[in-house]
Amino acid sequence: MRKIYRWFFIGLCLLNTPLSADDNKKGVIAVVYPTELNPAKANIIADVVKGIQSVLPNLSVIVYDSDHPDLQDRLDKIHPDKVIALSKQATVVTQETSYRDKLLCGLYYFQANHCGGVSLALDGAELLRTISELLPKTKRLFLVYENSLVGVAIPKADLRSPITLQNIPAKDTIEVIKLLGNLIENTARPIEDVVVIPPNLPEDIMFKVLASAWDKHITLTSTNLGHLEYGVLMTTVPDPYEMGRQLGKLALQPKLSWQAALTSKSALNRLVSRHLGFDFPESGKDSFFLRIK
Amino acid sequence: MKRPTSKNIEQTYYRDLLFSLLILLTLSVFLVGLAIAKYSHDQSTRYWESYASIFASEVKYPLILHSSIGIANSAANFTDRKNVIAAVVYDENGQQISPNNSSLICHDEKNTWLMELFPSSQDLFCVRQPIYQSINNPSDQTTKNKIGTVELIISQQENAALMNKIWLVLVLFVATVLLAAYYIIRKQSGFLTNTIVQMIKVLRNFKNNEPNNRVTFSGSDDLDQMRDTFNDMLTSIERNEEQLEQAVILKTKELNQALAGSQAANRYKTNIMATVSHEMKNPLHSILFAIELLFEAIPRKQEKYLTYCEHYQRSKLLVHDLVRSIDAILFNAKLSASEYHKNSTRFLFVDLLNECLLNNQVLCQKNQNTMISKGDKSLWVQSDRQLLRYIVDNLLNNAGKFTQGGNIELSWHQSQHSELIIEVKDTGCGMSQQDIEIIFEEFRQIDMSLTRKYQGFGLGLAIVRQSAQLLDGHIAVDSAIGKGTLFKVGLPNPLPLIETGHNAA
Repeated sequence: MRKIYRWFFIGLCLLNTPLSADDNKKGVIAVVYPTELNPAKANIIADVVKGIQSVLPNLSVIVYDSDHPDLQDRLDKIHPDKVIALSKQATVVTQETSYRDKLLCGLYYFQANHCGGVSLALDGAELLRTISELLPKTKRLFLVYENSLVGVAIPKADLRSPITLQNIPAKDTIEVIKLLGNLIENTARPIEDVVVIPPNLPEDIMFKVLASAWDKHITLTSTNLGHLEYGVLMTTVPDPYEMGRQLGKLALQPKLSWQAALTSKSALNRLVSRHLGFDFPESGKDSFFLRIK
Repeated sequence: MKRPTSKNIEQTYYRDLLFSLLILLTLSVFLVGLAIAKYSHDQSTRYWESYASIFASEVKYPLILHSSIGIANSAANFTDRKNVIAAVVYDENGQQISPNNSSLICHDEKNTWLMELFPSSQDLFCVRQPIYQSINNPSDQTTKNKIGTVELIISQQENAALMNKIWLVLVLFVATVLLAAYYIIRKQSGFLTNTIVQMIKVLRNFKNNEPNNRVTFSGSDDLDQMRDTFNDMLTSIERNEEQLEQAVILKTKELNQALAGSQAANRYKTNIMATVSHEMKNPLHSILFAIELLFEAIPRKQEKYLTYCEHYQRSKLLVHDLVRSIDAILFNAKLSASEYHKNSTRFLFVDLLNECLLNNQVLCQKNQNTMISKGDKSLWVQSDRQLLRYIVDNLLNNAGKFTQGGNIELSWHQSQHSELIIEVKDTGCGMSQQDIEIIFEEFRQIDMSLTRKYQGFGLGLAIVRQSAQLLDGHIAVDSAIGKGTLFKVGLPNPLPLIETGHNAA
């Protein structure tokens, strides 16, 4: 029995020693982002940072001035082992420093070949889960997107979901509009079909698409929170705090890998829901973190 | 040329003033109209460009979807707008998509300023806007892609109506201002023109020698000063004019007195000369007669007969010379007093020449000159015989007097211009150009000294010139010192050569 305890103790020591050494080695992790004047964006960034800090309490936070980014000097003072850049601009600025190899990206849309980190693209499985939970009558989910900007990470494996996911990729914006328009005009059916519009759909086209969908009672959703005001039924966006945690955990891994946002939260446009005939109870523990109109 | 009255001047002044005002107002109104038209056109263009932009934005979605119905509906929505005649959509290749049956064509030519000024309700105004769609590139940059064009064809009817109203208002404004100006000028004309009209009136009276005309207008200090200065100027001019007139009268009087004195002296001189000559001539005839009697009384066998004969001839010659000189003085006085009356007769010219040659024969022999005469001996002349005789006689006498042992050639002929040409040429002492200028003056000789070589009064050539002038002829002299002299006289002879020949026959 003593042997067992002794080996257990030795095992613990062995397990603990490398961990402690690894912690010391990756002990300095910095998060970098520009000064944000927009309160909504500033709140999102703050939530992400909180999420990261919940995993990495010793996180070094560097907020730089966009006009005078003295990032190299500031990073040199702390010599971080990993640098988490929040926003595309922060990524670009960090890539100009000598810490470009230790970069983790976050809070914008990017692909795996571009940078390691957590993209704003929502995990497809998470999206399907949310849709099936919130819109149980859905049979088909149409995913229209531009190849250069993927708002939803398409799951490779069979998700065993009652909803059929249909990818509709397009080479450019014009094709996106064309495919989306034809989809709404001709293919999509009310209630049972849900169309996810691309997050970068031009504003002037957005009105036309929404008007057309409104007339035909087609359910539109988006991964861009801003689209909610225009008139999509709901938007499903990554949860900033959870995304922060996801980033923190990723920073602890030795390999810099790419991940989609694995957790989401949704917002609802009540006017559209009324028009489409969906009934969402106004309960306390709500599925929607935001309801407008 | 009819002179304008002071009323006409005022009317002309008012007319010019109104005309100037009309031009000024018309120009101003035209410029204002131009500015309004330009502003209106620019605003209209801007408005319709914005409208076309909205149309382009509206039609973009159905155009991307290639939805003919959507495009047609959008175009129809925009055609419903007032003044929009057609809303046309073209694809990126410029092919018209909607409407299919539009027969309206929008020309690219720009509106001229005249069309902007006076738009016609028939005019069309076209606005085009491209349709762009932003495309995201892989490099995260956005480019604009042209996917088509929209075109609005707009009627100018409303714009034309507006401009017509504006022009009407402006024309009414001009008319009102002109009427007001006309009224003011009519009522307040004196205020505007009194000064000028008064000055013109006074100046005209002044020009017509109406004295004591002065302007009386008054007003501001400047006007009063101008009035006083103007009146002072007129007074000064009048005073200077009076002084000038007095001076002219005085000078005229003096000149008249001098002229009268001169004429009286001339007449007195002529009378004296004539009287003296006449009183001298009568005793000379008596002397000549007495000499003749004395010569007849001398016995021819007397020893000194030849000597007496020589004295007789010399005395007779001297008396003849004296008579000839007195005759010259008398004839010159007669010519100077314009008391000679021409008497034109027809005669054989050679007869007159023979008389003259005979007269000068003695002088010619005395000076040992050879006299040669050549010319048409059958030539008949119609002229004053006495004057012609004086001319030839004096010229021969002059040549004989100033030629010693030389030749004197008298020639004559009738020119083709019905002119009798008489030439007297000698080989005498000749004279300089300066001398030629004085030889025709009365009582002038080249050598005026008492010890001069050639005697005479200096009247011969003066009589020749006066006689030639009286006969409407002319005289010319060609001479050089030591080389002789040529006098050439041209006198009109109305008798043609044929007639002279006939008469001669």
